[in-house]
Amino acid sequence: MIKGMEMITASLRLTGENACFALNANGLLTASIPAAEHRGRVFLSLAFPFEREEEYISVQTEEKDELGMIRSLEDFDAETASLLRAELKKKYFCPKLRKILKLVERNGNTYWDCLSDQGDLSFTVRDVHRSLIRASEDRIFVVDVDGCRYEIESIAGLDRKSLAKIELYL
Amino acid sequence: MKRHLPESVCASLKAKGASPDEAFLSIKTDMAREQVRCDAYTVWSTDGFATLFCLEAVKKKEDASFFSRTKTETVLQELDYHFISADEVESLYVEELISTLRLVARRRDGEEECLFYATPACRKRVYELTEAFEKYQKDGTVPEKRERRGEGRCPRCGTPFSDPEKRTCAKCLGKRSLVKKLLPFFWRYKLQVALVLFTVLLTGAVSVLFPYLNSRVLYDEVLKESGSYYGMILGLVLMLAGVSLLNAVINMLSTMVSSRVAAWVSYDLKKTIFAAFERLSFSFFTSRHTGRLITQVNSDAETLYWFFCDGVPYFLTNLLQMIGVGVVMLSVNPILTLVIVLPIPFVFVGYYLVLRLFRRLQAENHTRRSRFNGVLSDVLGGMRVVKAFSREETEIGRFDKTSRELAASRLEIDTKNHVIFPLLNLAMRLTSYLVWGIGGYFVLKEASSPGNGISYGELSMFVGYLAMLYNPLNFFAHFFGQMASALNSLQRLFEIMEAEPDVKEKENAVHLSSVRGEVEFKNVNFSYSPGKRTIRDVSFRVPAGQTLGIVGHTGAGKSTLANLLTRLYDAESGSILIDGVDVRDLSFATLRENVAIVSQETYLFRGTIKDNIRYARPDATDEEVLAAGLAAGCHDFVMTFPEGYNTRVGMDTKSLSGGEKQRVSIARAILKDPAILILDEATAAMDTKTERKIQSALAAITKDRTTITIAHRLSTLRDADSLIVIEEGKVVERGTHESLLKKKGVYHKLYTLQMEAMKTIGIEE
Repeated sequence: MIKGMEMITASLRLTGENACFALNANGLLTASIPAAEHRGRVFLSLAFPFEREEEYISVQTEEKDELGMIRSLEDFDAETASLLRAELKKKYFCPKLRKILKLVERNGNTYWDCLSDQGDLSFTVRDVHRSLIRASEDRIFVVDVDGCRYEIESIAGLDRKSLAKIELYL
Repeated sequence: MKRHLPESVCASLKAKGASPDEAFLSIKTDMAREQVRCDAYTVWSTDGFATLFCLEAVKKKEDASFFSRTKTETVLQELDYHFISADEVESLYVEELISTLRLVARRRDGEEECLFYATPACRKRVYELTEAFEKYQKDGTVPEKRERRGEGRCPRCGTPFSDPEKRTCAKCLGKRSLVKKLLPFFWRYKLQVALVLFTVLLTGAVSVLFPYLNSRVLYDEVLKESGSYYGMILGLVLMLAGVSLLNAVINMLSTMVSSRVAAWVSYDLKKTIFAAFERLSFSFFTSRHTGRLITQVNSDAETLYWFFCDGVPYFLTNLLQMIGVGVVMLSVNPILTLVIVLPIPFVFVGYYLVLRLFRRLQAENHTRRSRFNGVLSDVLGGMRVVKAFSREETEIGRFDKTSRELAASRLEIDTKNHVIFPLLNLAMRLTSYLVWGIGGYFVLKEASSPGNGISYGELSMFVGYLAMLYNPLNFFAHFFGQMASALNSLQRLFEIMEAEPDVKEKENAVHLSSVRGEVEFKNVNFSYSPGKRTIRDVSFRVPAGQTLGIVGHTGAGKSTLANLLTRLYDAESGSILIDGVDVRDLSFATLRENVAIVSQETYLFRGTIKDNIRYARPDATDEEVLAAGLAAGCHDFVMTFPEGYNTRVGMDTKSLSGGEKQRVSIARAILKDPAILILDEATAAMDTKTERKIQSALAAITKDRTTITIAHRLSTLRDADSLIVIEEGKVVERGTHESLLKKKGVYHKLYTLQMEAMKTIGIEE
């Protein structure tokens, strides 16, 4: 840790000791964080969503004020950790593309017909080079005209035909 | 209001006690409460909010007869149902997640409840529901009855629109309709077009003559003793020279006329597009990349120019030539003709596939080149940082990786190039050997039994025609790609030409000959994108000749107020009045003549400083330019330049600092002498010393002139006649500097913080 930084990060760190997370009667995440004088709804955001899906989780109020940061889900008991994991899954939910059935380019737009874990999907992507987010060498996200994201978990894992359709843009 | 819910959905909702027939609003979304894709129908009525989650499947009707019109029916598979009573709901709001959103109801008991999830494709509809409910709670008004125009998808093919606002489907927009739209541009040059077509016809006919003359006539009629023109070599040579000359003249004429037509059509297209740019609203440009627009005007018009100047005439000439050659060959020897013609489709398909492969390789190469250029410009641009953090090795590695990828792609293209094209050429050569072989057989046959074969001259003519048939195949395969890209260009250009401006001048708009300058905002609401309201119910009045200061955090909506007053955008609801007349009723001329804005983002056009100051009033005298320059505080730095006010600025010339540019644009606004002056962070890019220097000059200019000043540094606003404080698009405080300080509210907090910060850096008030 960089000299002098421990104090700053420690003051933000949320653990099972200083924060209590629970679902309200309707299944929405709430927290009681005495140090931040907060009791009520909270929202989670990952600092490094591509690399660390269970670490460095910012806990915010509705007004986006940060109440603290969870260093790791391991700092919580199994029940709370699974609660937080489920909430993160909801926040970062996006269909996973398994197969690219058709990909046509016209006038700078690409029209995709895909098979995903959510069934068949058709969407339009404007300026495909700008709309592909590379999470790693093998993992990409595609953002369509509405702002919906679709994930290709493993480019290498795609079948040959799907790969041939997409490799031009990689 | 009712919207067309499927009958089965209505029936199901009714069965569950909901009242879809009395619905104020009903919307269809696309997710269940567990983020699973399905159809979700939410109906808002006096009872509350009922949502039916279901899966719809189209099934063949069991009783469908041959003559019945509807042979299918929609079968509903219910997944879930949710209802929340209207009495329980205090408010509705949308929570934006990363790739989905959820509608949450805040209940009166303080709890919150998620009604459903949806993908961003439904964002507009969901926000429509929350806003309608908010309005209903505020004043009891229910949403107006209006039909939804589709669902952001093409009604024909179901593909999502690439631009939901424009609602044109690139997939369905027919080629025929594009050509139809282009015809008027060519119709203006109908005589020239007719001439081009005539010359194309002539060129085709003349080309067919050559092999006939230099083979058939030469060998069979001139060199043969039995020939009709035996020994008339000079005559044939003169004839060949004459035909060549005629061909050259026709070609020249054709090229000249077609180039002229293509150039003028390209000019007309560019002119029409530029006129469309001027007509379109500001929002059109903010939602698009400027570079892309420049490419569109330049490159698309250029693509069309080459297509019509080069591609089309050459295509027509070759097509006619092929038909002519085919007819002549058939009349001489059908069997040999068949030998030549049969492989043509295969060679054509071969070329087509090869070109498709190369297009893909070229596109890949282009992507890699862009990446390579990106790394190069990144490293060179950030060299100071690279060196400061000793990251040379890493950057060399990054460069090496992209460079290798580029080299590999180039190598693949070259290798394939050197293998595939020689193979194609070989295939063509083999065909010609086949013609020589079979043709030779017919020549020998003719010698043994005259009338059953062909002469040597005819064989030589066939070989000549063979080249004429095969050579254009490469071009034809290429031509279809060229045509597709020309059609794409055409479509992009028409999209701009036909785009409708959001902000339009009213017919019979009011023109005010003199404007006093009274400004009033009445309950104005505005949002740049659905659901994200930037301005909420803002009302204020600025009497003519007075100064209003607008204060607030970054992103509070201050500049949006200026944009609305100048009609760069139109308010969604409420009204903005100048001298009691709604700005939407005023002519653009009245508005532009009487309202001037100096914004934080200044833009200087290519030209001299004098030209830039005079941009607002080209007829201003040099003395007026000097006065404006002095008042705006740009005189001092301008006079340090050797060329003074004649110094050229803009791209690639003298670059001015942000503060200097701002002073030039203040001078520009001053010279316009408007009734209403808007200073939107007009001095933000200047240092405190310079700002203070021009403050007194600005005070003189703004005296007795309606001025709206938006400023970060609150000290510059203390002399304003009144102030409003904006937070999240709402007016939260209003009053004078003194009264707001006494109030000890938001303004007091902001002012105190700023004063302390100024003291820290040694600047006293």
